[in-house]
Amino acid sequence: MDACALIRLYKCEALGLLVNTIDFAVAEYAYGEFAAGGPSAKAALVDLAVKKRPIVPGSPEWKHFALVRGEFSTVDLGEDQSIAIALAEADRDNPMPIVTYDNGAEKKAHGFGVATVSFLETLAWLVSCGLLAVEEAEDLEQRAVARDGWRRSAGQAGSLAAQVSSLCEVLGSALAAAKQQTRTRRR
Amino acid sequence: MIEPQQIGPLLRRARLAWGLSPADLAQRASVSEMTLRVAERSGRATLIELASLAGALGGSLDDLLAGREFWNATSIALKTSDASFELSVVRARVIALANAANCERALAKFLALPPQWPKGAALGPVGLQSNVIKQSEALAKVVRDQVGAGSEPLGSLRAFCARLGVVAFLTDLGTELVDGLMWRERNAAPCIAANVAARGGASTAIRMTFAHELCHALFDRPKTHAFGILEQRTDDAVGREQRANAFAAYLIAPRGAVLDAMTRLGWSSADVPTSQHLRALAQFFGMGVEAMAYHLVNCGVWSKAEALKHRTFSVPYPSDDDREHAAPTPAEQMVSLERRGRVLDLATQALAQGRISVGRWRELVGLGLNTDWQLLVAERHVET
Repeated sequence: MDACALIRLYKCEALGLLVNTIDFAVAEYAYGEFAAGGPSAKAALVDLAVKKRPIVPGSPEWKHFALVRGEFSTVDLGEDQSIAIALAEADRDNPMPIVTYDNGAEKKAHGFGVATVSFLETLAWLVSCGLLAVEEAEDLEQRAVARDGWRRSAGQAGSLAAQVSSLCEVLGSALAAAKQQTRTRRR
Repeated sequence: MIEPQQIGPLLRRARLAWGLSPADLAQRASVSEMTLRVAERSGRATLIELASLAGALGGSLDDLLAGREFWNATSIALKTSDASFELSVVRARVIALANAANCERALAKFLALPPQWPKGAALGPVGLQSNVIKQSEALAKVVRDQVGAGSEPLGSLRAFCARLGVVAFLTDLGTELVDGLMWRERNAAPCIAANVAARGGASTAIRMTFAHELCHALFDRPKTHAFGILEQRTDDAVGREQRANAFAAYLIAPRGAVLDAMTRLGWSSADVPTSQHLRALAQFFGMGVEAMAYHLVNCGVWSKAEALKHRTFSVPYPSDDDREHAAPTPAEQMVSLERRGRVLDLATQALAQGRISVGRWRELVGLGLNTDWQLLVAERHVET
């Protein structure tokens, strides 16, 4: 998870929805940036049980980081770190998407073949997993508009319900399994 | 990118160049002393620790990982001082300047801005001649000609310096004893900085400092290697300092232009200039009254004794040269003075063009996620 995703969900009081759903990893830099928000931000990370992922010289992640960062990066350190971690995990046959709400980071991740989850996709996923009703997700989107300056871009028109059905169509059985897993964890 | 085993020695060299103890650096970088010692010995540290250490030494993680000796010129400049002021404060700000300059260089390269330094590089270095006043006037003319500035008053000294490839910064060194500094990394374009804590932060003093440092940057630097000078105030400038002082005055107010302006003010060569002449000239050229008084002596229209009588006036001069210090917007004040000028401008340009992410923009201008960075973006009408 990228820091901008953490901060938006936190500002919208929606981080708690993710507790006991799936495993989240956060790059050390993004973790530090978010935790600097104060004790309640730190507590939110603890509740979410995120794994803080540092990168140290010589590690497999380091090699990917060197490639991703290049001479002058177009994204911040946390975003580059997240991409490097996702690439190293892919080498371990454990593909991981990055939850990022930054267009620049999304573009760069896609360039390296790393999947991303956008804000609307996060909402659609929460609805698909039965953690939110469509109306609640729409309220959450409005909160993001007011509290974090969220605005849909030109290619993101359409209702959230439509987003949810297209997500279900694309993910199909994988989503059903995720829904089941979420139910089991939350019990 | 450098090999992991090269990181430790690079960190240690940078720390020693700045004269920092392991405890000092660890504190500045907010890491434990143990972390620093392990990093220096083996290069083992997390990326976030390496980024903090590089930042506390005047560079970025990218500089460190590229194996650049990003601290050289600025630490040389610091060593030229005799430390009659609070060194730790000055050092901290010089490190902040090094950070800003390294950031500016990376941004300019990324944005593929046309390099201007070849124009400046072609002018020097130039050795001192016996008559430094005469030499400085000739050099100022050469520099104005190189830029095609004629003999008109210079509205912005910074814009003038930029056209020669010399980047100008503002800083607050926390002491009145230093006017400014100049530094130049190996084979790179020079940078100059004016200290707003000196001479009451007057815009005219800042302009004189920029022009003075420009002289060092063009004529007193070595051909290729790293070099730096930190200017401590002195009343008895000799050699290159005397040349730089006179150069600054001739650059801002060429003799011919001064005489033309005085003629327009109703002065004839048979008259002794008055205080009104002095104030009008200072205002017209954007120079301090005291500096202008001495300049009139160098221009041969005033005696030194006459000039000394007129030292107490001050003339405010509205200038773009101290904009980010004199009139920052509330949002700009979130950014450190060193990055508030060109670094903020270039980073915002890259953001507005959609070439960097918002996170990267915040990283470049030094704003955390929990600041009101959106205000600054909105103020500059950037769509994110």
